[in-house]
Amino acid sequence: MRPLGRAAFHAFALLMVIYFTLPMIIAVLMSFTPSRFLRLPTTDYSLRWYVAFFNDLKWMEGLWNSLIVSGLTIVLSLIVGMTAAIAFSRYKFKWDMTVYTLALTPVFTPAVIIAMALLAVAYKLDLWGGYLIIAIAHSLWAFPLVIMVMRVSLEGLDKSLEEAARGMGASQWRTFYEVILPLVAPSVLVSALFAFIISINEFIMALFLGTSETETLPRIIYPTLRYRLTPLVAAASGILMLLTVAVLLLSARIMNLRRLVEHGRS
Amino acid sequence: MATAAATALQEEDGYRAGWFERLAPYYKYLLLAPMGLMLIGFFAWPLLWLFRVSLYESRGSSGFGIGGAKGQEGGGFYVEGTWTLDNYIRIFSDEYFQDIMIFTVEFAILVTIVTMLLAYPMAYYIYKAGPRLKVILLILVILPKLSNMLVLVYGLQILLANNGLVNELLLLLGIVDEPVKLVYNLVSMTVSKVLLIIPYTILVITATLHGLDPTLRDAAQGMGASPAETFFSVTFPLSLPGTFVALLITIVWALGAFVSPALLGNPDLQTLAVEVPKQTFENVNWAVGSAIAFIMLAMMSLVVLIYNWILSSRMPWRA
Repeated sequence: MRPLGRAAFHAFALLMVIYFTLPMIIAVLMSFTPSRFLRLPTTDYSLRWYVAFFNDLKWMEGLWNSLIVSGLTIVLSLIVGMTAAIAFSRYKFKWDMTVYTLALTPVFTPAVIIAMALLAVAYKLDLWGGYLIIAIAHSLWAFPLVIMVMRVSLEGLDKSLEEAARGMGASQWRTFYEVILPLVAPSVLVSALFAFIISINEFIMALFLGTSETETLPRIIYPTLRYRLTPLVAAASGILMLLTVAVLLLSARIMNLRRLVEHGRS
Repeated sequence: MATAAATALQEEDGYRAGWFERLAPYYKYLLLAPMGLMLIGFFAWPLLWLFRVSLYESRGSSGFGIGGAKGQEGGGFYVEGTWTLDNYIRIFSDEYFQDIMIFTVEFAILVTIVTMLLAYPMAYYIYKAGPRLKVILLILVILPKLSNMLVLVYGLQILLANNGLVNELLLLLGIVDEPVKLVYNLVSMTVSKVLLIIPYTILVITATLHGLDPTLRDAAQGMGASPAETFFSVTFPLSLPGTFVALLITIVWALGAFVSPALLGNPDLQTLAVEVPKQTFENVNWAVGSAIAFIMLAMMSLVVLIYNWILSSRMPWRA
């Protein structure tokens, strides 16, 4: 590539990175403004909007609801995703590729469609407005990711360890519980964190399936973005970002640890 | 020692291991059961039920469904036990809905074109980058998808405002004389929707490029092809199948646009997805809401079918 073309290519990549990160940076910066209006802080930084957030019962309830829903989502998607991942990694069966593809389809289904479809079903089953149905909806997006992560991890296991345990007379269940599970524990944690990130940030399904009593944080943010833009929204966004980034760093650390362990073993 | 331990283990497990092992032939089905329940009970059935609900007679906007407790006379969000195509007839004949349908498709095409034009070069850049830069870029690319879309929209609202950074930059560079309106129009909608989709597109194309056999590229270069020639005659054609998967995902997501038109659009630029909650909650008309959601689903299925059809027919790059 000629130097000019190369420079243009680098510039393009740089612009893309700015495009990807700037909106987030701006949103978080705004949360530290001392002003009552949407004015980016230049010299003074203030935590007044975070104080306002934590003093507002409505926002705190939203945070609490978000944590409950994402906790439930983690449990549900781990149960569904891990059992399926074991089935896919251990057994050959007819149509396994088709079943696998089908299992991944919910991820590619837009939230509005899942939400509207579940709304009518939730109404029929009397689940409408509860934490459970929101968590089920979020799990539809989360469990396929759990399957993907866990499948890679399970298929990468050293088969001889399992055979050794079985050879020494351990039952299949015991082998799973005492040999396989500890080995894949980091991946389990990483999948749980992914489920958490999906659930804590999702709001369209929460909008359809929740009520004012089960309002999650993003569901409270949504109308304020539409009608009254205050820095308090920025603080709420900042808290969501903080939760997400903390969880991301945690999972990056876990994955690194695993790499270290693997490195030490070989 | 080892044998003794093994015997002890066996004895400890005793009978319990027995019945558990006897289920062995059914393990795979037992293991798939939770997923089956989830997929059928909370995905397939709801989607079918969505179609059923769309065939109910709607109560019209007067049937205030707030007291929609089940079985309660006068409540409810649709008329139980009815079958009608009225909702679809109404949607397809009403100019209001026609405009929305056309705009949804137009917007999806626009977003798809912009996304693909930006995603392919970016994916190629990541593919070409050194190992350390590659990891950083991949993290930056996935970041918008992992953060809250409302946070992104909020950031864009501020950035694109009349006194926002983008306008200040344009004024500073002398490109414009007075602030341009960038927010609450097609510009802000496209910018936000592309940002919400593009991580997936880039990841799929990057994965495709990494999956290519590098020896082909080396062979082309070894035979004296310039980097550009190598790209256009080897890398690009070989990456087309994966790029088409990325295209498919992009179109499907673009057709489902909700946040961008709802928060960064204006009343003239609305999509079907925005209409779903509007009909369902504001007009308390679940039947029409379901019908619109089902039309969206049908549009997306059509895209997938066309994709499969193209894939199964002989295409030049598959020969």
